[in-house]
Amino acid sequence: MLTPGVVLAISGLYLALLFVLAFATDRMAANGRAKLIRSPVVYTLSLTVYCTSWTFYGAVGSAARNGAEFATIYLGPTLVFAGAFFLLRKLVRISKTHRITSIADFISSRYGKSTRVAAIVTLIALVGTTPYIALQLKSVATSLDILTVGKTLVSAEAHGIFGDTAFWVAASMAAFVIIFGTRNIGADEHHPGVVAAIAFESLVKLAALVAVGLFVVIGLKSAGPDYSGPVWLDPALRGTPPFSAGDPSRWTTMLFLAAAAIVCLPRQFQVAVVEVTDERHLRTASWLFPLYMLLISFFTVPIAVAGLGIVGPDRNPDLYVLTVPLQAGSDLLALAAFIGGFSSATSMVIVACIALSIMISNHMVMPLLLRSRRLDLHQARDLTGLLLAIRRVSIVLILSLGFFYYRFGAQSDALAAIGLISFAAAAQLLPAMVGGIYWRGGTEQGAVAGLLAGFVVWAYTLLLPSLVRVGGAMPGLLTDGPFGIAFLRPEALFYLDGWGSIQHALFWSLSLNVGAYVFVSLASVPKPLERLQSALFVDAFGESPRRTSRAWTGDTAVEDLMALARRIVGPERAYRVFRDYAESEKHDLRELVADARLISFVERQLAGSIGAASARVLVSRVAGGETISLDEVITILDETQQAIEYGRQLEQKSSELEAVAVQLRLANARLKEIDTIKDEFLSHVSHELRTPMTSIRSFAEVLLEGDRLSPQQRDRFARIIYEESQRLTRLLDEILDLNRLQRGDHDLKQARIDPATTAHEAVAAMTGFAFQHGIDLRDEVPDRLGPVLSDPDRLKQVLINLVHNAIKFNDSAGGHVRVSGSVRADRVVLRVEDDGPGVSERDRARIFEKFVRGSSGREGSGLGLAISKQILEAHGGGISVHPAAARGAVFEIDLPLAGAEPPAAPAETAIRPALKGEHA
Amino acid sequence: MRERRLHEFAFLLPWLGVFLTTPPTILALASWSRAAGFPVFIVYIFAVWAMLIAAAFLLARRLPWSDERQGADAPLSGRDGANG
Repeated sequence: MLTPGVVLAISGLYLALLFVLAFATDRMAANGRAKLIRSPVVYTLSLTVYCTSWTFYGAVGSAARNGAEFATIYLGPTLVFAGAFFLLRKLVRISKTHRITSIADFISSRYGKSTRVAAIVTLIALVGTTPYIALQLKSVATSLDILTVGKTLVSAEAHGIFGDTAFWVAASMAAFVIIFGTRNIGADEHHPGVVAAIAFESLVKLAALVAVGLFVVIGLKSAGPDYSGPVWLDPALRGTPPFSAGDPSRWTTMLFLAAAAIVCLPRQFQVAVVEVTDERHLRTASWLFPLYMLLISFFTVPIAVAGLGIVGPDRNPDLYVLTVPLQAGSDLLALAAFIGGFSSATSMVIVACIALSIMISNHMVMPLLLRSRRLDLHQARDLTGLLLAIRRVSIVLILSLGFFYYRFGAQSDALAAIGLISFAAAAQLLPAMVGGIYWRGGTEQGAVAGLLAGFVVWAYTLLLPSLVRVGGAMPGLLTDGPFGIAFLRPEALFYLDGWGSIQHALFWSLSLNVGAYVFVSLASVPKPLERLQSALFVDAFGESPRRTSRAWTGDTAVEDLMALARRIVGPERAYRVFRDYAESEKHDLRELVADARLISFVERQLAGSIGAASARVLVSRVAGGETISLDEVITILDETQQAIEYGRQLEQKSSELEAVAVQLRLANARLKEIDTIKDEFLSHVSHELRTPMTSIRSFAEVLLEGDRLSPQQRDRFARIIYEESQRLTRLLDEILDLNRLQRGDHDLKQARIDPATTAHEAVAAMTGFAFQHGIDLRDEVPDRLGPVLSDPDRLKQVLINLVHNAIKFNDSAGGHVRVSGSVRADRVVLRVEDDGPGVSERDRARIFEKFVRGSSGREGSGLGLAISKQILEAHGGGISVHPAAARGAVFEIDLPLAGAEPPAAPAETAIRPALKGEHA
Repeated sequence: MRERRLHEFAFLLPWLGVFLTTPPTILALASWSRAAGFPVFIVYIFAVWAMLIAAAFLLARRLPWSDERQGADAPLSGRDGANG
């Protein structure tokens, strides 16, 4: 038998070792040398905080009572980690992006950074974890009693508070957590020292259990008369519970509970999601953590069988891990097992305390402080001290709660029962959490309703009965129901009787939880911020991994933001935050602008210390209210869910710019074209004027100097000068005419005429010219076409010009020119068709411009068609050119029919050409 | 294409595990256990467990765990919100 002094001394040394380890690691981490701590293996080992003393001792007890059921506690997490690539990776990704500090922070962030949700989750976590902490303290005290006295004393009665080992364990745990868990207000709640201690402890407990297991499997012979092999293979023990499969309905429930617990227990969330330094650590953890669990439970069945064989079923099976080596006379092994159990207990208490203290300070105390307005933000006081003090007080409070629960409550229950109660509380967080990252529809109100429903039912059907049993008060409550209402019996709610209490409680609590969550969510309208957060959470693997809410639209002064950050995270970190931001944005620190990006950046930095909900409240005080509107959210949550708002806006802007640029390019091209046309016009005009001028000048010179000229020559030269000046005048007239027509400043006579008559006259006038050129000119215009309002002289001018061109440019021998007319809809159409060279497609578009003569470039002023066009447009008509069926071109003019009514007012005809001119 | 298959298998794995470790599958094995007088059930559970670990190990090496960034311990880029 070991003396209490020795065991206590060894426990004390072990704790001291933990302190040294944590201290050294923190120092190394501060110097940036803690590479090992950031390794995936250490991360995986820290996850094994899941294996508490409940499972260290309790798994064997469970196997001895209920058979294979113990495996579910590890199989559930194995299934979750086998799918780590999906669920856990998403949790980690979201948490890193949003700087999540705890599970309460996670759920509250998802539902619009809700303070209410965070507080409820914290409450559930606190109420659910306290019995579990009590359980750890109890296991330490009990195992110590077993080791030193040989039997379980009821510690609370045997010792005073200060004589109780559990008190000292709790006190040293409080010291440990305060020293290493609240060294500073972290940027993202990383505690390297704590992680190192936990990882170390995980190895200790694995080694201890494997040692006991190997001892049982190899070393422990049966003392029975007819069997001398290893105890665990004794045929007499074949039929005992450890070899049985257990109760399948409990099996499924426990499997589910364990799977839920591995993500929902606050301490698991803390180590698996908050403390993780690299998302890729999950790659290793996805198989190494299940492997650890397989190893630690590998010898459970042999130990349980051996316990039943040599210790006996009448002793507490939960302590077989200790009592089997003791019974076999191996005190040293028993001591190792004790240390293993001790480390399981301490690691759980440490992590649970850190997780809970963060939650309590961020989600219960901070909101109260913020509400009380005591926290005057315009004071320059540093709040980091206050925050740390709150955390430290919370830690003491949590451990006190656990300790008193242990002293007064946790005496009679089997270990497994308390553990499952705690698991069932954690499972209440599952719908809001998993629903929140896969279902956009979940709202804050839905989450509140679901969490509260689940929590209340859990407390009523599971916690209350366990308290009643322990306390011994009101036993009628369980057998007859409250006030004798059997319908409401806590363990047979709504007459659901005959099930195990865990299955019963889990069924009702989760059904109502999920039901309330889903239906209230569907019935409520989410706030804009909730919508935004839900999209960011559900779409965490979207295009931009770093994208977070950018809900701030208001402006504020950088100084105010900096002052706020300084107060929450301390001056040094605050300075680094702003400097990092400035660097990443390539700004000068002094020239920062407090835009939405900076505000949300600061908000997220603060969220990493005090939780999203409190950070939002604080920043909103400085930034003058969060002014996100539904429209903005919809803008942010674009149709594809993939593109981000910023990129999308840029895209939109650039496409707008592109459209404008295209317009500008078109306008520029048009301007250039017009400029070219103007230049061409000028050069044409000068050219056209120069040719006659040159001949006039040269002939005039000849006349002036020509004394030896014969009178005939003199006459001829004078006639040339006369003709040339006439041509000049005609050209100038045409130019002036064209300009007048273009300005709409014309003197058109408006008469009701039949264009057929005009056409006949024009053809008749051109017959001689056609004959000269050997062209067959045919008049196929009908006698009557219809009345149009027109200036007959001008119309004739147009037709003559067209026919003249058709004849002049017709190079084919014996060519034909055909003039025809018809009425199409409400317009009179006249066509001049030739079989000449035609008009090329390029020319067709511009042939009606001034001085454009067609690419064949022959004589003529190049103004005729332009004038024709202007004349027709002044009449509300038009002119176009098409290729003829075989060879040549068809010029087609059309004029609106005047109808039966009297001549329209000249004003109308004056407006139309102007309108037409716009489109020309 | 291969990565897509891998993804799908990774998604299937936990569900396969659920199928193998819940009733009715385990009910059959529990019956065998009783009939055989040998803890078939325990052996089965540990075999499934080991299989899941082996499959998770093989998958873990091939799946793209951090496709989009260089891990969270890279210094915070500060590019918040937009993909910058």
